[in-house]
Amino acid sequence: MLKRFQCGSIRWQITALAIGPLILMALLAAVMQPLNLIDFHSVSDDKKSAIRIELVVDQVRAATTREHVVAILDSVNKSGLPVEPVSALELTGGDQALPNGAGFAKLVGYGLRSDLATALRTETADGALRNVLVVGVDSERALAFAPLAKKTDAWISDKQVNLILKILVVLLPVLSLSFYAGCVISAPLKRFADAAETLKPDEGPDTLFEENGPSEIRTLAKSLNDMRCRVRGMINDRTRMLRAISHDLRTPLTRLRLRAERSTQPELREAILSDIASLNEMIEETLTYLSKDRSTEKLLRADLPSLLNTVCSDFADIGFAVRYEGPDRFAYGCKPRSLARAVSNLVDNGTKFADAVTVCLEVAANGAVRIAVSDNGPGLPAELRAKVLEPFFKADTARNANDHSGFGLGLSIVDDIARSHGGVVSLTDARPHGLVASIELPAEMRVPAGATVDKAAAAGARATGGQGKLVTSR
Amino acid sequence: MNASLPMTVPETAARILLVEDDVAIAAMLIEMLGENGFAATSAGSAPEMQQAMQRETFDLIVLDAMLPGEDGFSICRRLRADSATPIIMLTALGDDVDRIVGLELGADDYITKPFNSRELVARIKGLLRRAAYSSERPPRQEPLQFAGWRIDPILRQLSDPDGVHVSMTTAEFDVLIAFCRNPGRVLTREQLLGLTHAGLAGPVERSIDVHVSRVRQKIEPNVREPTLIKTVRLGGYLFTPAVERG
Repeated sequence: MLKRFQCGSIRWQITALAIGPLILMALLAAVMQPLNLIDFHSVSDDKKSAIRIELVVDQVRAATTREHVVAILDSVNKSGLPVEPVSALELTGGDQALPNGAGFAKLVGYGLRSDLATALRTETADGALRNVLVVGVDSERALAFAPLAKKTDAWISDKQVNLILKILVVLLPVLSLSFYAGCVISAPLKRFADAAETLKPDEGPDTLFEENGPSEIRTLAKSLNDMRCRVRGMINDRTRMLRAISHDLRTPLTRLRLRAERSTQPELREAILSDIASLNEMIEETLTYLSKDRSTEKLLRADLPSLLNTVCSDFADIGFAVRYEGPDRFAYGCKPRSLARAVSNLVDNGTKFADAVTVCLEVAANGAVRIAVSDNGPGLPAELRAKVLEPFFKADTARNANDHSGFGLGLSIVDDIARSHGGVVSLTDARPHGLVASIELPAEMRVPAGATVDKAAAAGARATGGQGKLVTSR
Repeated sequence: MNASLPMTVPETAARILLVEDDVAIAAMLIEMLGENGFAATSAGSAPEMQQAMQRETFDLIVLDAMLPGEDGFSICRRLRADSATPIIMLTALGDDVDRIVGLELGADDYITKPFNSRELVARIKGLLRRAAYSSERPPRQEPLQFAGWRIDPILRQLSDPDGVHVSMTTAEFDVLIAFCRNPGRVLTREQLLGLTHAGLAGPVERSIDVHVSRVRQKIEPNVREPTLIKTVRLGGYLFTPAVERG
């Protein structure tokens, strides 16, 4: 039954949900109707009143003086039980029907000693109280007791409690049924949402979305899984295409380069070689921007000064004045290859416009890191600063770029990498002139426990397949 | 096309087999290698390579990664199974995965297209020199440890005693790995040059001393008084710590 409900279509589930509880409510109400619970009247309250009345009668009987009687009655009155002396004549003539709720009716039957003469009166000849129980003291005197003042300190009356209980008895099953059914209907949707949230197109199983539950959900799951397969296919196609392009472009470039090297005209040769270098740079840049390597690189603790020094040395070795300033040692959890790529893009950018570039590492007291790449070039107008981070934007007109300006992806790559580290890239003015490009990173990223270089390396070796064995067995 | 040019080079020239499917590149490389004093033969595919290898033995193989039929990586693995001939992979895919795969399969070096022909010649010379110098062929590729540091020649990763990743330039890494493979031996500057690619990185010629000082900067506890890499007067450098397989 439940199974069928879960697998039915959402349309029927909702219809059942709307109608089912309604029918249930009607049924319950019909069953509850005759159970109009008896008017609660506390027996123990009656007993208490009876005992008090007996006590008062006994005290009045035992009283010797008239003043004493007045004092007793006075104190009884004050204690909350209205009483007054009446003539014993009131006892004769049988019970009068008291209006409903006077509460004394059962007192006689329940509690009072049988030797006490009692009578119910709506009113007495010489008393002020109405609806009283008259109890004989002796042959002449009697006492008229008004009903004990109802305690009104409870914030809710018995009747209200009764009503609420009844409503609860009807509503609770209906509400819980509705809630449960609602959960059953929405559970697959919730699973969907969770799955979609953690979805990575290139990882995980092929059928991420479970194809069960209501028929609509099954259809949706199936189409989402299909879509995921298509996306995956497209990503694979793209990767294949990129590899093919990079191979197919590089082969003629290699040919061209070898031909150019054989040229007998030095000027022409240099020009062609420079064009080839810039073409190659563009291929590299595009591949880097599109490749997934950056996002898949593992976080590990890396020594930032050595990383920055290495970038600087690489540039210094090809003839640029690039130097590092900052601490000698500082371990920081990051993706070292990506970060090195980001810093080298910034330095590369700097070397295009300036003759000296400085890479500064600053570590704040809270462990936040700032890598500032400053140059002494012409700087960048403020209005262009946000734009240069966008892909394919080139500020050529503003900064006299040479031929090797690439596709304008360099700073976008830096921005992507900074973001993947939870940081930001900012561009500011250098003094007296130039540009400072800073990567600001938050304090220590969480490195998964045990993810030291060794393990990451081992994982890397595994990831490249079983070929690693060849090496170790040699 | 098997363009062998045995007439133009002396008998003692190192024999190089170039496995490259692009005819024009192959022809130009063969000529260029011939001009640089090597006896080069080319093969356009795995079967042609097989034939060439049956005819003669080669001192070094330059292998293109992308070949019709069996690709370069697969050929590399096959060759490594029963020969120690140095292999340089030519790859059009400059990413690290290819490099690592190539090196794990047993390639001794790699070079990315489009390359500088001088660089190819320099690397060929370097490898031949290394092969002649090192009695133990091929150099050990497994990770090594010294003084708590760990160095992995394949992944080209260095980590300090706390497991923190330390970055190095190519030349610095080559210098350090050369030291690690020859601990307790005085290495002259010439030997170090031969064991590394240092000096052919670009227009600025850096002396071995510059690279050694940068390595010291990164690994020595106190750079002013180096204890790991000691300078030997008039000799070269000595790597003092014990090196074990890691």
